[in-house]
Amino acid sequence: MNKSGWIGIAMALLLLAGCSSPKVSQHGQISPDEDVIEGGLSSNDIRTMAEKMGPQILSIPEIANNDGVTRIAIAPMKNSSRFIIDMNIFMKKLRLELSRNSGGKLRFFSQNNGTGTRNTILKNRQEEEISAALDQLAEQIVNLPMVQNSAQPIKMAILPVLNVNFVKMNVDSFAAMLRSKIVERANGKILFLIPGAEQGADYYLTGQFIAESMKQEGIVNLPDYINMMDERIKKGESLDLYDESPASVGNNNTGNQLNIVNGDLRGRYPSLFNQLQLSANLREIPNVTKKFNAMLVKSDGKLAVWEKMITLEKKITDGTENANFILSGEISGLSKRDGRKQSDYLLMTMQLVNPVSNEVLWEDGYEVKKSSQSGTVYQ
Amino acid sequence: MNKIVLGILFIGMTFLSGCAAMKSANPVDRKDLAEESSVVVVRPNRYTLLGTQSVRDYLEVVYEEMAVNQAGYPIVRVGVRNKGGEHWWDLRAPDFTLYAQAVFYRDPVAGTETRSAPLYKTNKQPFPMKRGETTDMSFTAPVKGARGYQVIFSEN
Repeated sequence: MNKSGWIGIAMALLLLAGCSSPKVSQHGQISPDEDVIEGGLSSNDIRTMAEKMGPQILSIPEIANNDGVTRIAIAPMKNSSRFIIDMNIFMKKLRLELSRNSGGKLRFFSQNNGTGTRNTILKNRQEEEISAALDQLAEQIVNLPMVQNSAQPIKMAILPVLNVNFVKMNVDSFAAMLRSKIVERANGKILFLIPGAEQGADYYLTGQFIAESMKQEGIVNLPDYINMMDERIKKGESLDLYDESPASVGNNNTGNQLNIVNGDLRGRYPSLFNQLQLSANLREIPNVTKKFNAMLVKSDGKLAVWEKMITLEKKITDGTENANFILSGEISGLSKRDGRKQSDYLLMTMQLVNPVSNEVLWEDGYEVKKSSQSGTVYQ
Repeated sequence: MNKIVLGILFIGMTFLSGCAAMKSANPVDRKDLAEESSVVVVRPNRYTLLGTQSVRDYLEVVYEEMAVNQAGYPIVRVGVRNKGGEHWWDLRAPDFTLYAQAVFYRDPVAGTETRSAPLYKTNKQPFPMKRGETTDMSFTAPVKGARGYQVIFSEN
C-alpha cells in the first residue's frame, strides 16, 4: 500500500472514532418519579398525588376567591393500609406544593418543628415583658395623686399575694422587684416597711395572680403546700383545704384533682407526700395566660384605692386557633396475596374541613393498584 | 510540503481540537423544534434494524384540549388510546404503563422555533394503558397565565 492509502486509512479511523457514544453514568441517582422496586406505594405516587391535589385545593372558591391569607392546620394522616410508612411524607409534599405555588396566599402552622426553640424565645420575651409591665406599674403607683399630693412620705407594707400556686411564681422575688422599681422612681415619697411588718403602714401593696382559665388548676406549690399540710396535721385538722372540720381524711388522688376523702390522717400523710413528689401533673405549670392584679389598699378601712391588672405570661399556643381550615387525610388499603403474587389497592383521600362548622369543603382521592412478586418493606 | 507532512499536520490538528477545556453545548435545531407537536413521545432507549421499539407505535391521540378551571388555573386534557402494534414485525397489543408529563408554557409551543422556560412542569405520572381503551389524562397547573403546553410520553 502506498503512503496515500495509509493516510486515507488513518483519516477514516479518525472519523469513525467520532461515532463512539459518550460514557455516561447515573452514579446511583434516579429521578424521584422512578422506582427500581415494584409494588407498594412509591415516591411517584406521593408526587403524583400532591401534584394532582395541590391545584385542586388552590381552586376551591373559599381559597381562590379569598383576597387575604388562608391559614391551614394539618391533622396527622391516618394509615389504614398494611404498609408501615412515614405518614407525614404525604402532607409534607402536598404542603410544599401548595406553599410553592400559592404565592403566599396559603399559610401553614409549624405544628411540630422548632417547638422547643419557639417556647424558649417566647419565654425570654415574656420575661422582658414582665419587667416592662412592672416598670409601668411602678410608674403609675408613684404618679398616683395621693402619692404626689402627700406632704409626708407614704408608708407602704407588702401583703402576701394571693393565688401564688396558680402561676407558681416566686412571689418574694416578684414583690421585691416591684418594690425596688417603685423606690427607684419615688424619690423618697414612698417608704416601705421591712418585709413581714404591717404595723404603721398607710397603704398595703398587694394583689392577686389570675389564671385565665375556667379549668380547675392542678398546680401545687409543693414546699408551701407541704408546710401548710404539716401545720394542719399538727393541729389535727383536715387535709382538705375546703373542709374545716377535724374529720379524718384519706386521699383519692386521681388525675389533676387533689380530692381528700375519709381515711386515717396521719397514716395517709406519707403517701400523699409521695404522690406530690412523683406526680408530674400536680407540679406542671398550667399553660394559660397569667395576669397580676395589683392593689393598693388603705390600711384603715381595708379599701382598695387603686387597682391595675398586667399580663405576666401569655398562653403559648401553636397558632392553630387561627386556622381557617384543617387538612386531613387517610390511606386505606386492600391487599391480596397468593403465594408469591400479591396485589395492593391503595386509596389516599384528603379532606379540607372548616373547623367551626365541621363541614367538608373539599375532598378528593388518589387511587392506585400495584402488583408485585415479593413483599415490600419500607425502612 | 509533501503529503506525509500534511497528513501528520491534519491528524495533529484533529487531536488538538479535543484538548479545548470548554466547548459550547449544541443548540437545538430550531427546525426540529418547530416540527414538534404539543403531544410528543420521547425516543426509545435503543433502535434496532427492524424498526423502532418506541411506545409511540402503540399510541394514538384521540383528543387534546386546553382550558382553564373556574379558578383560572390552566388544565390540559389528553385522551390517548392503546391501539397496539400495527407493523408486520410487531402485531402485539400489550397492556402497559405509560408515563406522562405536562409542561405548561406562557405561549403555545407547536410550530414555534423558540421555546421559553416553562411556567410549570408536572411530575411523570403513570397511566395504565389497557388494550383498546382510551385513557383520559388531565393535568392542572397551580400557576396562572399558561397558554401553551406540551405533553411528553415515555415508557418509564
